[in-house]
Amino acid sequence: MVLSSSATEFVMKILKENMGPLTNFEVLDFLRSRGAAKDPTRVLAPVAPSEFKVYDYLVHSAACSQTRESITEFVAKCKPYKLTKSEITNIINIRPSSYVEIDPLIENLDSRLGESVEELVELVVQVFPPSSEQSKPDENESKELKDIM
Amino acid sequence: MVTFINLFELYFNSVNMFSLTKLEHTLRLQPHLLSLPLNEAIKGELEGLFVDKVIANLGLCISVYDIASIDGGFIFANEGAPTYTVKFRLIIFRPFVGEIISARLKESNADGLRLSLGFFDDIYIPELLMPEPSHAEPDSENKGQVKWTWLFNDEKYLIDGYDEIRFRVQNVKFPEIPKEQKELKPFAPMEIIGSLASDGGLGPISWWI
Repeated sequence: MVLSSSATEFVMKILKENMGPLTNFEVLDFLRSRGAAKDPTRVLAPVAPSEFKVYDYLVHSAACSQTRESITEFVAKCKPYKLTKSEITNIINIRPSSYVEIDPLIENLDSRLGESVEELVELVVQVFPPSSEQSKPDENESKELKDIM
Repeated sequence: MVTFINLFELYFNSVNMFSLTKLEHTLRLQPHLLSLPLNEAIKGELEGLFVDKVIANLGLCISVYDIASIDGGFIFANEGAPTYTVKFRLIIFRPFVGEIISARLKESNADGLRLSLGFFDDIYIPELLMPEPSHAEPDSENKGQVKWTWLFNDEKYLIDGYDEIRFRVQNVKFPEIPKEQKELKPFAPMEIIGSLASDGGLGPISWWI
């Protein structure tokens, strides 16, 4: 005789989908707090191999040199530019340091910001210091493209 | 003096490729785990179940963020292990349409490009969403692969996979699990379709910096 209980139906329930975004910095911070940065062997810290891959991705992105303060500062200081939340997210994640880099991140850039695009780029560069990856320019074709665009 | 503002609240109604989702799941804890503190044992089980797995129409689960509550602990008749109902939050990866992401080249063939983030590599840039005009040449070093080149102002700009490639998220798909394995390629439960079309700024970073 087999007795079944309802508890053997292990159905997962989504209680609240998308409770709120986490900035890339916060995910990196979370992984750091679990010890991802401190374990060179990568077997001692309670971090799964897949989590280490996320850590590796984020540590090579703009998030690596960001802080809670710098993100808060940027969100406050970019208010005059009336950017949408998605545009702000894109800027924080990509950290554009020139006109051509910020162009695909903002819709109707010229008609909305006009002259103040350079100002906005200045703000980005000033609030978010470059990570080691981003301060290596490639000399060759790049100069021509950048000047044309 | 900078007051600490919870980034969560600051960002409410905002978007990012990462977000928190609250779930409830009922599981049985095997006896050999009962010597561990309950929280740890449950967390371990949840991680085994969810981390690095795609939840259909939700996204890829990155980590177990925290456990809100653990209820139960009853042992049902005919079972040798206690059952718990757990409420917890997962960090979910699911880019939004319009998000700009940097990735590495994984494959380059006649259909377009395949990109990877390391932890996720089912990102496709179809031929139609390549910068215009682009054309492909067979890659002498890699059989079946091609090298894509963008022609602009009489100059050729190569996508060689050396540096990061920035793309715009066009669509995020959750294909249905096929009944039969039709193709050689393993089934991808979540796919990101990206675009490199722009007035400048998308594509390999070396083109612009």
